[in-house]
Amino acid sequence: MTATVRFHPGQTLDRYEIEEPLGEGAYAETYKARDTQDGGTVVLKVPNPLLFADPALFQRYRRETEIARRLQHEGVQRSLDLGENRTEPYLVLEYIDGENLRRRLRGFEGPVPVSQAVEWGRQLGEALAYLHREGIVHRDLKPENVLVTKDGTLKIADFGTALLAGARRLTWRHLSESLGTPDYMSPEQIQGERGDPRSDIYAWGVMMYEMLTGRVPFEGDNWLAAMAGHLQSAPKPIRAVRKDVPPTLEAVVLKAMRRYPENRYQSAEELLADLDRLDQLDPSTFDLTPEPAMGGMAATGSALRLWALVGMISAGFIVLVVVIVTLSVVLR
Amino acid sequence: MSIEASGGAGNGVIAGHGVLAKLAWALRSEPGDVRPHNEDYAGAFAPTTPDDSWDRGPLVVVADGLGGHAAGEVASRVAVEAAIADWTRGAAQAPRQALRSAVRTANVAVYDAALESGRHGMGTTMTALTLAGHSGLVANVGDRRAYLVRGDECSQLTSDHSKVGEMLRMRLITPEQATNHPARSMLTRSLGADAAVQVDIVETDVARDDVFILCSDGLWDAVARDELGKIVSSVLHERGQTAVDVTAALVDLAIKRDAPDNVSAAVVHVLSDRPIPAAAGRRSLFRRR
Repeated sequence: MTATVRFHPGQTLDRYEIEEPLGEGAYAETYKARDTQDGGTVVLKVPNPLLFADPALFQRYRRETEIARRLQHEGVQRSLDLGENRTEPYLVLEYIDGENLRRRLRGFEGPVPVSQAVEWGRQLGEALAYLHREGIVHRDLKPENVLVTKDGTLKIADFGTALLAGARRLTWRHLSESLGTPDYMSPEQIQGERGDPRSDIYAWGVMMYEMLTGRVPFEGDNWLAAMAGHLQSAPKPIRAVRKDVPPTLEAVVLKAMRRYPENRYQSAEELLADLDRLDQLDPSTFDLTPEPAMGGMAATGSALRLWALVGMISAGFIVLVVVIVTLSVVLR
Repeated sequence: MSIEASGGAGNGVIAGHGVLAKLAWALRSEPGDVRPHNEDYAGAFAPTTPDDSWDRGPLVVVADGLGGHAAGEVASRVAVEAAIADWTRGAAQAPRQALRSAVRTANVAVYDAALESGRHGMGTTMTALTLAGHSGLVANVGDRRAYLVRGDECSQLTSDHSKVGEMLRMRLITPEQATNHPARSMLTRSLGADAAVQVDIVETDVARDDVFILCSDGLWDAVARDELGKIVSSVLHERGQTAVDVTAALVDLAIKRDAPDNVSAAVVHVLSDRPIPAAAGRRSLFRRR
């Protein structure tokens, strides 16, 4: 770990003894720790103090952690917050013995087997349906934020990372780690909207696409190129990359990834219903026609300018011909 | 010329103003109501030799520090002081080079200060303005902005070095979306992050009654560009007041509107059509009209 980690193994924070740092993100440092009162293993998530220089952000953090405390679902990392007195604001979370989905995906030779991808897709969909019913939108769903237990069950973690979206005065370097690649970010979030449950459904679609093809749909040399992909390009059809993916599964994933939220599944329940009856669906009933590009319309704008230029040159040419003809008639 | 820093956490309240034969300037920086500390800093150099001596030209600098644990206020102050020191003591160069050199010196000063004090993540944005001959030159790193108000038209001279600024240039979002984008303060460039920095320099012509405004995101977030033009026009031309009153009006309005950050503004009002003395040794570059 870097020298900036605040706690070291053996140190205690209230009733918890730090065992090892697990990671340092833009938003918080996480540690594996032992509860000295009951001996259990937990995860401590200590937010970056920089974030609390902003009172509005701190309020939002408090509100979201309040909600997180209520959550009880097998597909969501649990908060073990008992509300006891703390010397500083931090979260106590269930310790999950496993790894994150990013690392698990790297372990596959090529893409994930279809049946495994569908099973994980269903687990993620159920967890999302639960979160959305509880009024929580994750906003930053990606393989790094999904944990895989030893028996292969997925658990969504790290909601609250999206808190950063409202943080002010942070350097790019500070954020690049978590927000550097907008690979899973919905078009509306790229454009600055806060996002709603359908933004999580988009991220679900991108993760499924990645599991099934081995790569994310929009890649580029940098984050701007990837963003442009989400706003202005259509993903390459999954079956063009991998033939053994059923057309119905491809249709479900591409529908989740539609550029405009109103064209996607409107709820995780709706998505799950289709996922559960893949063999009864008719892919031709899915509207997957190209959607208009979003944004300041760079492509369309330059195309328009090009046509305007062509038009002006043609008009000039016609005028010239008319003048020459007229002159030749008049001066004859 | 006078610059005062009065009490308050961080860099407190900073205010200064001065009048030269051809321009009047004023600057003001306040913590605002949302943040306990002022992490902004501002400074100016006004030549004391007679205007026509063609000595060092005027320089106005504003900076907005970043990094917790008091690092922000240190960074902005170190940067502004280093830039002014370089401007006044540096080798004679054309204004454009001298300006770039001042900002680069500020970068190294912040970078070194961060290394020495172990203040990880310390940095600052900076916008600096000088006037030379019939030109205004603005150097910019970060998301502070410089505006030029001519009549009641206000145009933005600088581009924001923020994630949203880059997205806007790539036309991924519209200007309206950029205004409220949550990533609008995520910087892609700042002073102190690396040993070298790319400095944007923008040049514009200068006419009598032009007004330059340098401001922090605390101000441009709360007061729209069109309003800036109207406020300048009403304070200077309708009420006949001065640059000091313009800065006060802008800063007060931003604070009244619950500006989400520290609020700083520097205003330079061009009073004459005659050329403005340039940096040292550049006399031959500018012909007098």
